[in-house]
Amino acid sequence: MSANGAAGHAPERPPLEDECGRFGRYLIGEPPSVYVREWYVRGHVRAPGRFAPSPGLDRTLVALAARPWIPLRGLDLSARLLAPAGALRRKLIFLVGILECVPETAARFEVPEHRSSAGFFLALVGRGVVSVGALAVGLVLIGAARLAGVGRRPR
Amino acid sequence: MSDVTVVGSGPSGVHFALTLLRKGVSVHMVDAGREGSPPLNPSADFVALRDALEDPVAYFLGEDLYGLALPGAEGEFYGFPPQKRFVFERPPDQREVGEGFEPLGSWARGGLARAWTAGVYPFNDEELAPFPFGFEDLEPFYAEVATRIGVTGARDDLGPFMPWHEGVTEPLELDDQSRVLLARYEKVRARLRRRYRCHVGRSRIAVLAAPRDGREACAYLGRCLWGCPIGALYTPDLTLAECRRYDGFRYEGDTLALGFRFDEARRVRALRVRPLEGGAEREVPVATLALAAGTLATARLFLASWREGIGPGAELTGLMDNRQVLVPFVNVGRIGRRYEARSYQYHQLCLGLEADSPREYVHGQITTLTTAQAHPILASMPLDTRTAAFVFRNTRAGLGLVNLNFHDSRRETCSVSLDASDGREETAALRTRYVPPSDEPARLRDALGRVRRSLRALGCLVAPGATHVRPMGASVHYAGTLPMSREARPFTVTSRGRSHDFENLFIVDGSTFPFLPAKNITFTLMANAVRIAREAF
Repeated sequence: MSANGAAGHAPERPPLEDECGRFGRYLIGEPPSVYVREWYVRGHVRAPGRFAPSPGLDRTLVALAARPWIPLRGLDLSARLLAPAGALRRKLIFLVGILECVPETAARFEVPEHRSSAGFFLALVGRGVVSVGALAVGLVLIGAARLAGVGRRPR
Repeated sequence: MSDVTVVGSGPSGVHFALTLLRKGVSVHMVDAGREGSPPLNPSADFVALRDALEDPVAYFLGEDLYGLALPGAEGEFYGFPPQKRFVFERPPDQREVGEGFEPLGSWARGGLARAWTAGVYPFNDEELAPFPFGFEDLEPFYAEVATRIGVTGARDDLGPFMPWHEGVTEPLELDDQSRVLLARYEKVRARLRRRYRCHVGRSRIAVLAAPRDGREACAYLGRCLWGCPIGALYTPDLTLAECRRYDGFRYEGDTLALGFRFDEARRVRALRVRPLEGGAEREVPVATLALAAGTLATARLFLASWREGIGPGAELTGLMDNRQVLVPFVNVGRIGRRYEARSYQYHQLCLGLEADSPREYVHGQITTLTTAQAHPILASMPLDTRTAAFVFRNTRAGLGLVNLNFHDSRRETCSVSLDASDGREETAALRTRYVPPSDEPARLRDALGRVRRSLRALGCLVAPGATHVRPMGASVHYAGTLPMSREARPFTVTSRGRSHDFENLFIVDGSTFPFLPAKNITFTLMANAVRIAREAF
């Protein structure tokens, strides 16, 4: 497997590749390369126990994350609050682990966007405000999904 | 038969062996001796290596994701590199059970020090008071080891806590983050010392600042965590290679020592061994046996031999380890700067907290997190992953970690024993039991408060809730189970490491330390092993 694979779209991609693409867009704003997607899938195949959601809330979170119309930030924040070591966060951190190894995406974790601490703290406050809204939406969606039984059965 | 049979190739074993060889004493070293893979692209720095690798994920995370640190392991801030997995890989029958203690062992060539962070901190007279010798007695051996391994450091404010000795050379170049912290300290030094009794200075580390003895100087490749690819950072396998150049040295690797056999006069006659990966047991006749396998492995060998020759039920008390607390911080003035990949990756600065009793000194190693992997740090942040990545990339150049070490004393409640309650005598589990001292919470609270306030004075922020108290066992500074004693009591040794229980048995590792200061013990392990070899043979 080579790190130099270009991003591309297969006609029909399996769910894990779709999941990787969606999480990649959330984390770095673009779909990950073929190499990253292959590693994401490979990791799930080789260490399934590390990424399998537990029954209940964990499974609901992963099931909701598969729906493209649901904002991931709210789910991610809710997971940080309610299931910090759950499958959704494990999958996201795994993807970060892959992305930071790859030269094309490593800069997303290295190069600062703000030159001054004032600019950084201002941006952080802005993100904090957005996060509060996202968290509220996430919690409402999760509550509704739990009532509707989303994720009660294995996908 | 060699004059002396040594078990273990860790820091104690190799320096003990080398000293004997230089005296003309023949040595047979029995060692599990696991070895890792040779480093890839040794001259490439961290970024160049990453960019050149065909499959970087396989390198940094491992084919089976061994190096991936997922949520649930918060607080450690580092994923353990797959390249160093061999250091902690245990044979399946070497079972360990911990109560209040998470034991770590190594069956690697060079032992646990293959994964050390190269901190070299001599004990001072107050810390050596429970030992049967003082700093003046040990100083020549510190100097000799420093000359062998290459130690860099500086005379500065930490001098009262780290006595000076010969053999220390000019320190490495500081990275930007450490330079800024030290410059800030110069400005607030008086306040820090007066209010918080906090001192900051250069680390002493076993890393070459200039080439010597065929070893290259530190090239600031930022790959320390993955294993220094050029041998500038000292590890005991370098001394083992030197031992192997002597005719009087015989190295028997891939061999697991199981115990020793002794006669009625308590004279050791043979060492029981078998191939590391399993196979027939055999006996190696010995004239003199020296155990240097590290505190826990030495305890296992001692207890297994005792059980076989005398009977079950023995317990070695006094197990010690340094409690460690990790305090991550961000240097506000460094926010928005580009991080410097070209750097020495481990600690370049240290922080010392004075205590009312000099033996209760608290030692902190300040590590910059520049070339650390992002994902373990992101996993520990109380934020969504995307915001955590935003915070990380903008603060990376200012991220750091203080690793605080606390002293430990021998107590009856902390012990090592063999547990064969499941009936498997041959593969009895090593049971470690640890009960922290009652005053520990108060000591931790006091030290953490002073460190937080000191960091604030240095222009750094400590995120609330980010401090992590590591479990006992995590520091791997184990000691105290077969201590030096002037009285000939069972399960003790003389000041020269000779067992009070067996005539021709020497213990030359940390088992014999009667006290554990708040410092990395490896340097003193090496100096003490040289002292024993010089004085007892």
